[in-house]
Amino acid sequence: MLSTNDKIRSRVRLLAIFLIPVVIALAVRLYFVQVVNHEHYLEKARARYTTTRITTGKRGEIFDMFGNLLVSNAPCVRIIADPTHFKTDEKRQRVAHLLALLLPEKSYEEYYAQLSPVRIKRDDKGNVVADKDGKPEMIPNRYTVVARAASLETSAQLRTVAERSKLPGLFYKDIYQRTYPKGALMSNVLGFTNVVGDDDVAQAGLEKYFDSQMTARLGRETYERARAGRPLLYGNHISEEARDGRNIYLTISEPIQSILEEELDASFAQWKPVTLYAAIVDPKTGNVLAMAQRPTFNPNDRSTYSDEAGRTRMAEDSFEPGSIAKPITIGKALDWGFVNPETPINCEHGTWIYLGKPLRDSHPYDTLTVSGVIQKSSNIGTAKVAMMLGPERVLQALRLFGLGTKTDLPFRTETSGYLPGLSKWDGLSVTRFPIGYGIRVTPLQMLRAYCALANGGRMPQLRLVDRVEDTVTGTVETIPSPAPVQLFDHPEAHRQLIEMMMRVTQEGGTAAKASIPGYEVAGKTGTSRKYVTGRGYVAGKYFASFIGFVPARDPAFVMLVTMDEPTGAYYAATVAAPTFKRVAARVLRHMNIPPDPALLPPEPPKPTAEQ
Amino acid sequence: MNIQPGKLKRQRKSIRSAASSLGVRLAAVLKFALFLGVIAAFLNIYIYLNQKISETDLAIRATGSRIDWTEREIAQLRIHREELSRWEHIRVKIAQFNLELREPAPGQVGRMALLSPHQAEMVPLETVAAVTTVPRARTAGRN
Repeated sequence: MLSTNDKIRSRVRLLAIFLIPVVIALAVRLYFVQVVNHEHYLEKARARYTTTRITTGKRGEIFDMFGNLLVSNAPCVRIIADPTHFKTDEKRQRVAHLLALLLPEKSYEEYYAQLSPVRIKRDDKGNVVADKDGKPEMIPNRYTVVARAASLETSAQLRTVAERSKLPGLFYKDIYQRTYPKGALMSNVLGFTNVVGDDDVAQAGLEKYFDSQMTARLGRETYERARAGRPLLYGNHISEEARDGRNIYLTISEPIQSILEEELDASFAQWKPVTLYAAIVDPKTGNVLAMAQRPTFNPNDRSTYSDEAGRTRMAEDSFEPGSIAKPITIGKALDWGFVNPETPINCEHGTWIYLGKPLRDSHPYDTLTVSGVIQKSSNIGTAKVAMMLGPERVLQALRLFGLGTKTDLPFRTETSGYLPGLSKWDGLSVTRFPIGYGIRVTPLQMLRAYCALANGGRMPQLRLVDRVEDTVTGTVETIPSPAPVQLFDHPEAHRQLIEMMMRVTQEGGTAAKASIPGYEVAGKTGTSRKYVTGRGYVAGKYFASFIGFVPARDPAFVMLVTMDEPTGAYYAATVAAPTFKRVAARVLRHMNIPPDPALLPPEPPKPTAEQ
Repeated sequence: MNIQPGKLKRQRKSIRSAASSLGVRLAAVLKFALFLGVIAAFLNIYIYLNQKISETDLAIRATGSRIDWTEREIAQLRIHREELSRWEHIRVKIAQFNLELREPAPGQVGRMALLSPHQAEMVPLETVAAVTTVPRARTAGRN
């Protein structure tokens, strides 16, 4: 018989036999968990309490030359609801009431419906997913955007009231919304963006052209979080900073742009053209100071947008320039010595039949000097000067002034116009192209050509973007401009041409209405019939243009005004020249360019006391 | 009485050694307690510091949020300022308040030069308030 001690010993042994393998198994398991598979389990654990937060930078802004803000990012808040937090219908009603009160864009009923705790399931394509019975499948509604871009004040108010009333389920995300503080100002040039998801997607204009530069780089913050979601102090923290997009500074001057737009509004209302566009350029630097068109749109209010209003016509549209092209051929004829200002030209009393086709002047002239040809804008006179040059030289002159060549301003949609090579010329081309018929140019090309005339015969590269600023590093990259190209071999010829163009705006010229008291204005009118594809030249439809520079001997700017199909009158001298005058007079004042007292009309005598 | 001096000596020695070993033990216990106390103190300080760090971190985050919010408000105000400086808006206000303003004639524009304190020290006192009326550069100036 076993003693008590023996019994205890045997039990201990049994227990040991059972426990030792268990302990060994546990130890082995512990070894595998803690040593062999350590990394695996650590990763799994980390994945549970490690979170990644995507941060966004701000899209680059657009400024004018002097730092006036044209395009920016308005801070606002996206308000999101998770209706599964509303445990009772009463809470859902209270939240809907609160939203309707503070965000009156939607009614209480709309908010109440939006805050439904369940919603219809949809697939990736947006189609309703049906259950086995063919009924729409319902799933918990855990995400609904109640306000896409609420103001800071409204969201703060909502947050306070919701917290005080203990209404859960509302979440607030700080976002930025693209905004255009100057409204419709320059909208055709600036373009706009659309919001797709959380991103601004550039659609047109400079927004699109400089999209890659202005787009912000996303940031990524990966960290081990505490229960409340805050990063753990001693946890892993990998942070890649978001990077704001680059800022673009234009060559535009906002005050000048405002003047131009205001006057264009007046002209648009007066002459009701289909379209009206104008631009102002500094001929010395090629800097575009202002550029506007009508109709236009307000990018902050998309209901004002239409395809026609949204186009950048200065770069996209080409038109037959008409008489504003004449100084190019005549200028080079002077420069190459074929004519001088006093060379007489027989203008055939207003009608000249050449190769069986008539060419007419608006007024009959017998003989005009070359200077008179420009002043009176004689088609026949210009055609005869061109015939002296011959087709090769005429083409050379037109090409030299950049017609048919893009200006390379930052517009994706810029066209190069139409200036055919000699092989496509017929016998009439040499008489029609120099007077601006049969060729097509963009308004920007004409401005560039006139910059050459205004800048002592040197043609600058047009510039619209002055500099690009990296907001992170603070570095500013100025957009370089190539040296102007000298187009005149003889400065005297250039001077003579300017004298002729000054006579255009003087008494007896075609554009006396463009003259500005106290200043010498050089310019040229152009009234061309409108060519419509498939219909040819349409009766009663005209382009009316005036292009000029002031002060003529030391120009501060070149300006082009073009009206497409003005109503009531169509001569450029009547519709475009006065617009030029009004804008130019105000811009001269703004630029602080004093008038020449010798050119000011004498003041009327003051009435004496006796009178 | 048979007194054995050797035995007595041993007894006394053992009493002495027992007493001394108790003292040693007590001292060791005290030392250990002190050691534990120091560790506990360090632990407390460590916990206290961690708590402070956590609170400071929270405060930093709260301040950061306030700074973010303020920056966003500044950005909004900046945009609002630009909206107000739009010529269209100014024109409407001029008409609304019947101000009868007109653009200055060339030569009427005066520009004041704002000098830094260092620059101001270099300028003779009588010319500090002088307003230049020279025509400004054609492309200079802000709206």
